[in-house]
Order: sequence, then C-alpha cells, then structure tokens
Amino acid sequence: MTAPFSDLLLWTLLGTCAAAILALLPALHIYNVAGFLLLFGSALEPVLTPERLAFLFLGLITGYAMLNTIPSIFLSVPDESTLFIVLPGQKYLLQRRGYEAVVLSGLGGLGGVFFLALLAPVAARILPIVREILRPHLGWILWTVIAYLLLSEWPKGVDRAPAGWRRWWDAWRSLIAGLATFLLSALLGFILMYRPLVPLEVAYQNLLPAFVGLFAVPWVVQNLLARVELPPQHRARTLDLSPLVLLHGITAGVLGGMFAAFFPVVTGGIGGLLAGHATAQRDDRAFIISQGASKVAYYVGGLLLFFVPGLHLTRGGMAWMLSTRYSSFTPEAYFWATSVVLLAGTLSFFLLLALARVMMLLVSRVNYRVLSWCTLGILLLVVWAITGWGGMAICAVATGIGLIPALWGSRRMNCMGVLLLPIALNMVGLGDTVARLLGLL
Amino acid sequence: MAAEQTGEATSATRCESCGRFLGPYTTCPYCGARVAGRVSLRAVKVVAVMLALVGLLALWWIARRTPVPLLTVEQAQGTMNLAYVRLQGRITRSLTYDPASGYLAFWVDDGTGEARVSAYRDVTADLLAAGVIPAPGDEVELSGTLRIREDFVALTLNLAEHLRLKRPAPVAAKAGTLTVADAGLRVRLEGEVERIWLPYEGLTLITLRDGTGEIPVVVDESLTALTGALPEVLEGQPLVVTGTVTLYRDEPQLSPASVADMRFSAAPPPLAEAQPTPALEATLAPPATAMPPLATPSLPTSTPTEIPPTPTATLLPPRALNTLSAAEAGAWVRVRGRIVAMTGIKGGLKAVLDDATGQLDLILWQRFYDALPVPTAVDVGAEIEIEGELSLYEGVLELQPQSPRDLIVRTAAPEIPWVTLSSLSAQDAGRIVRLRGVTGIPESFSAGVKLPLDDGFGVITVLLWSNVAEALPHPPEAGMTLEVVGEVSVYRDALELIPRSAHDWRPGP
Repeated sequence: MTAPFSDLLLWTLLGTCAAAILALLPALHIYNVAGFLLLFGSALEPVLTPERLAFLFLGLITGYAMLNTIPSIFLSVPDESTLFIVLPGQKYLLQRRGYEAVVLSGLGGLGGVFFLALLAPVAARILPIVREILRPHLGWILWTVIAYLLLSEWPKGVDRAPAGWRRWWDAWRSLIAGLATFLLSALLGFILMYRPLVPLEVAYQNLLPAFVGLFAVPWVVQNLLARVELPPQHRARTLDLSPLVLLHGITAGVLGGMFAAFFPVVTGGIGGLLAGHATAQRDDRAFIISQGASKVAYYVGGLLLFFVPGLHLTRGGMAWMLSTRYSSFTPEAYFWATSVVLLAGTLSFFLLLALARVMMLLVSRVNYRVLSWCTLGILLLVVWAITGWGGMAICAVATGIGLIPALWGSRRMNCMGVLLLPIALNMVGLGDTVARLLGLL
Repeated sequence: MAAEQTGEATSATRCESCGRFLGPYTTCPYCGARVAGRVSLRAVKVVAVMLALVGLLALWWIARRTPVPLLTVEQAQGTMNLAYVRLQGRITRSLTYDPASGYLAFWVDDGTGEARVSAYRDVTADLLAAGVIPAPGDEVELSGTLRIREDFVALTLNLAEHLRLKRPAPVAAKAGTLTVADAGLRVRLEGEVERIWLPYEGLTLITLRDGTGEIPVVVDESLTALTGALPEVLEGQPLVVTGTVTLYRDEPQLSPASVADMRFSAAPPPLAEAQPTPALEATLAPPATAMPPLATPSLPTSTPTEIPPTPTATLLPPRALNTLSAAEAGAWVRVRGRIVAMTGIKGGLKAVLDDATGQLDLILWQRFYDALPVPTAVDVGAEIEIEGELSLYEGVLELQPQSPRDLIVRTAAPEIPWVTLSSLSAQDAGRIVRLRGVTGIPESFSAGVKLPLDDGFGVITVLLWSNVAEALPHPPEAGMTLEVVGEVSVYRDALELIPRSAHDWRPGP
C-alpha cells in the first residue's frame, strides 16, 4: 500500500457520507455514481489515485448498502388493497412504523458488516477452496435458482370467481404473469447484452435503464395510480425485538447475501429470498433485518471479495469498474479494506438514523403525489443523462415489463430474468446459440 | 400543513359518497358509487402489455439492424466495459492454447495499441472445426465483448464466425536480411537446420541458417497442439519455413502458422527471387525440388509410387507460382509443384499446388480427372507438372487443364492415411482420411445420398453429393465392405465423411 491508512480511511468516510446523501435520491444507484467517477477518472487521477479510488468505492458501497433502505421504505408505498403481497417493510410504513423498519434494516446491515469483519481472518484460506469446489457447478446451481424462483410462485386466487375458466384464470394469472415477466425480461437481457443500444462510451451502464424500468419506475407509477394514503409516521424510541430474532434475521440475510455475492448474476434480493425461504422465516422483523444484512453482505461483501488475497473474485458492478483501474493482492490491503468497512458501516448506521428522521419530516410536509412525481422525474433524468434517448427507450419497454407483475400480482423478482436467463444459458454454452437464433449475432 | 396535505391525499382516495377508503378502485365496493377522474386499471394493463410486447419487438428489430461499432484500442476506456465491439488489426504474438480447457488467446495490434483476444471452449472448438486457426501475422477482424482490465484491453470472442482471418501471402526472404523493422512480415525462408534447442518444456527453437545468416524458428506447445505434432527434425536437414517475423527481446524470429508450414527440402527450392532456368524447364527430368510433407508419426503412410511421366512433344517452361498475377488471366501457363490440398467441388475437384514460392488453385473437372491414367495418383502429396489456362474466379487465380496430356505426375500421391473412427474428433474437420468398414442403409436426400459406415470402432455418416453418387459404377447399398477416402466434416455436432469423387469410393471384392 502506498498511501497511509489514515489517508485511505479519510477517502472511505468521504465516500460513506457522499453515499448517505446520494442514497436518498430514489433510483440513483451508487454504480452510476461510481461510473461517473470512472468517466472523469483521468482528470481526477492526480488526486484520486487508483488506491484512493478503491477505498472511496468501499465507502460509497457501504454507505449505499446501509442507507438505500430509506427511499425504498419511505417512497415506495403500496395501497392497502395489495397489502398481502407487499414486503413487511411497507406494511410497517402503513402501520406508521416506517422509522422502526428502517432501524431494523440498519441493524441487519450492521450485523452484516460485523460478519464481514469476522470472516476476514479466515477468508483467504477458505474462500479460494470454496470457489474451486463450486466452480464446475455454477451452471446447474444457477439453473436451480431459476427453477426455484419460478416454481416457488403460488396461485394467488381468492376462490371467489365462478367455477370454470374464470376461476382457473383467477388462480393462474399471477403465475402466467410471472412466467411472462421472466421470459420478456430475458429477451430484453439478450438484446442488451449482445446489441447494446446505449452509447459506447457508457456501455458499462447498459443495464441501468433496464433496471430502472423494471424495478423503480413501476413502483412509482403504481403509487401515482393508487393515490396512496400515507399515515403520519411515529419515531419509536424502542424496538420490538429479541436477540434471537436479531440473530435469526442476520444469519439468514448474511447467508443469502454471501450466496449472492459469491455467485455470478444472483442479486442480493434473490439471495435474501432464498435465505428467507431456507430458514423458514415467518417473522416480519426477522425478514426486514435479513434484508438489511443481505444487502450489505451482497454489496459490500461482493466488493471485499475483490480484495481477498488468492481469490481476487470480481463480483458486482463496483468490483468490475474498480478492476479497470486497480488490483489488490496483499493481505494488508484486504485487512485495511475490512477495517475501513467496519468503520464506514458503523458511521452509516448513525447516518441512517439521522437521515431516516429527515425523510420522515419530508414525507410529512410534502404531498406524497408531488414526491412521487419528483421521484419519477429524477429517475428519468438520471436515465436520460447517462444513457441518452436509447436508454429512455429501453427504460420505457422495461417499465412495461416491470408493470406486469405489479398489475397481476406476481413476484417482481421475475424481472431478474433480464440477467439470469442469458447468463445461465451462457454458462451451459447455449447463450450464443440463442443469440444467433434471435439474430443478434 | 401536514394535516392539510394528509387530508388532500385522503380525499383523493376516498369515496365521495360514503367517505370510505377506495384505493385504486373506480367503483366503490361499499356503496357502488362511481368515482370520476381516476385512470382505468384496465387501460393501464393494456398499455403495460403493449409497451412490453410492441416495445420489445421494436427494440429487437432495432438491435438486429444496429451494426457492431468499430473501436480502436486507444479509444477503449473503463466506461466501455462489457460493450460489444468490433476490432481490426494484426496478430502480433504467439498464441496461447490450452487443449484441456479449450482456452485460446492471442494479441491483436490495430496500430493504436494491443488487445488480448480470448476464446473459450465452445468457440475454440468451432474455430478448430472450421480450420480457422489464427497465427502471428494474420490480419483479423473480430467482434466480441470488451473487457477493460487494469493494464490491458481484452476482448472475448463469443462466436467463431465473428473472427475473420486474412493471411498475407509470404514473400521470399533471407535470414540475414531480416531486422526489427520486418516484424509482422510474413516470409518464406529456406535454409539448413543448424541447431535444435528446447529452452524449456513446451518450446522448441530451430535455428535455420542460410547463406546470409541465421534465425530461430519458434515452435511452441500451442502451435503443436493446434496444428499437429512436430516431427523429428535433425540438424543439417534442409528446411523451407513459411512464417511471420516476430520479435523476442528485439531480435527477429520466425513464427510459423502451422507445423505444416515447415517442409523438408531435399535440394534448394526456387525462392521468389530465383528465376526459372530455361534449360532445366525444357527437360522432362523430374523436378529438382522434392518436398515431402513432414510426416505425422502417428499416422500410417505408404511409400509413394513412381508414375512414369507421359512424354509430350513440346513443353512450356514452368513458372514459379509467385510470378503469376491476375493480369495474366486467360494466358496458358505451365507450373509445377506439390499438391497440398484437394477438395471436391461441384463438377470435379479443386487442388492446391504449392511450389515453395506460392500456391495456385487447380480446377480438375470430373471428365478430366476420370480420364487420367491413374486418377488417385493425383492427390495430396503428389508432385506434378501441369499446364492450362489461367483464370480469375472471385479474385483468386486458378488454372484449368484441358486434357490429361496437360498433367505429368512426377511422384504419385502417397496413400491417404488409414484411420479408425476412434481416432477422429471434431478437431479433424478438414482432414482427408481413409476409412474401411461396412455400409448401412443408404438414405437419399435432395442433394445426394448419405449412409452410415461402421468400421468396428464407431459409425460415421458418409455423404455422397449427387455428382459423386451418380458417378459411382454401382449405387451404394447396405452391407458393402469398402474403403472410403474423404474429407472429415462436422454437421450438427456429428462427424461426416465426404468423398470428393467417385474414385474415393472403393468397394471391396
């Protein structure tokens, strides 16, 4: 390491504070911010050396993983008629306990950070072995994940429709919508991977408009259409939580998050879902905690894998971007990275508490529809600014696909077909064949 | 203020008639009152589905028509990571190939910098099956996924068809004249093996010396794995090597594209600058140069049979192949050399003649070939003299003899190696082999006949194109014991054997 620890720590904490503010902007993913930094990398080079950039990225990702809970809980509010399919986080919000949900998620994130610190002494010995064992099996494991994702949907009919086709449709529409979403997303993924429609200079942001369209815009559109009623939020002084539930949530989240961090393509959401099912969670509190832990394990753990000596695994967008400017091979760099993550994670937790209060104030003073329109405006502005009109077109199509699960009550995670199917087919050597059949090669 | 806004939100989502919460409903489920000013959920569903389906089709249509952008290495930057781009340039260094994993990599220089191109198992297998094996000096155009690394630019080749190679014609050169400035130049050198050196396992350096100096010829394990084993080479042997000048620590060395680009030379072959000697050309004596191929030890070969040359009254002087040009299309010329490849074409055969200065396509129409005294003597490995009319087809020079008298066989082709099916794989695509076996039930299709052949080690489909099938003295039938010569091909992942003419179909007694 050429720079002193204090210097790198400073850059990390700077990244954490910047991420804390930026994470409040809905849909502005930290990968976009990192991309901008890369774009101006050569101009910033005299000050922002590759080593500093690496630690700045660590700060950014840690802050983002902890604080992006705030907009997802406070700004994505479902109406009560769809309460039975929404995440417990939103349920908490409608029970005026949005702040409590944010804190629970933050506790999970903090647990994830501590787990990553505990992993540090053994990571270099264990993880390379695990990778070698798993390497030949990645393909079928990914297919199993896809199968599980699709098969674990269940008919959501209410048995009130008249017998016959209408009842069948009532039961099966969500399943059909889920499959359609998965396949349409996959086709979109193939198009984007083999024939990017965004400018060459921002090819690394190729999936940004798709992700914004698939996941973020449908939420906002749904909120605007539903004209949701947001109850005043209560700032709790205590938490309804036992150590066992906390441990349960953190364990499940870390399992899912690390699974997602270690495996290509699997995201933190999928990892969280699998871990939640695997640990048979029934407790909303544990679920929210697990989501917080899963996010941190996925985002931060994924980037830390890049630093593990002897492993040097490039997982996640941040690591991919960093790999173009920086390499890490020494135990010293890994331990420094882990220690700054520990500090940044702790700082992020306190920033989370403070900024959650700011957000509570904001949503109580600004009309929720106005807030939703502003959110939509920011989303589209970000997409347009980074990827231009080509990106806007992709975003529009992705929004159409992303609205299908929202409107027919299937799992939004099916939109991950955009990555899962093309990559899974690539892993079994069929990706190029399918792309050729589609006329993309 | 907060209360007011909460009230606004409330009034917008409550029934004007009964005051109950409505959410997204357009008709109150409690009192049945219709609510005005709301967007129909059905309309939203229709729009979403249309946007998804029509929009996706439109994106697909646009994507199919969007050309892959051409990029220079200098332009590549971190923000372009994972872009699908096109690159043009020249291969500058030796290849890396791992037969176990199927990983193939090489460096391409486009004049602005170097990029490392990688291909993985399936793509590599497709490249080998298609006979597209890159080599230093090749001009390439390829498309792939860009990977920006910390210290270099990389490109992953996703499809074998997205690699196009153009191998420049070699120019004759002398070892002592090659300098650093010749790096990348494809040359043909003739000399004597001075030294054979193995600096480490997997690398053989053969020092070739001619009257002007010496140069090392690099044969690494990637080359032998891709193009065949290096046969025994002895010090003092005369050798003709075609390869590209590459540099090692600023010293020129020669990197052949294939082991087959190294040929023994019993006597000095005519080099580019060597002009034909009229006195020699006018005689009927066998050619001074005999260049048997470097035999692959694992394959059985037979001793070439000498075919007495057919005397002719007057002969044109043979021309060195590198002296022929497109401007001479239509001229009647005489050439000599060795047949290095022969494939079936519609209506006959196409042979490639090599005289150590260049190569020329020979078009041997079926009627011509059948009329030869011993047609099978004219095959890969045969030394011949031939005259005919030069023509230009799709930019390539070819020679078409008119009558059997236009061709003199100096040395008959050695028997095509006999192999068993157990030794054949997709990587043998393009090889001419000889198989023995028993035929299965023939099956006709629009372009010919195909039938299985069982050689006791496996079953292969023999594909007889209609021109070959119709020329057979007896139609193929099940249960025939026969010997078949043909080109190995891969179709839908299965091996096929394609006889090039009726003479490749040799039924047993």
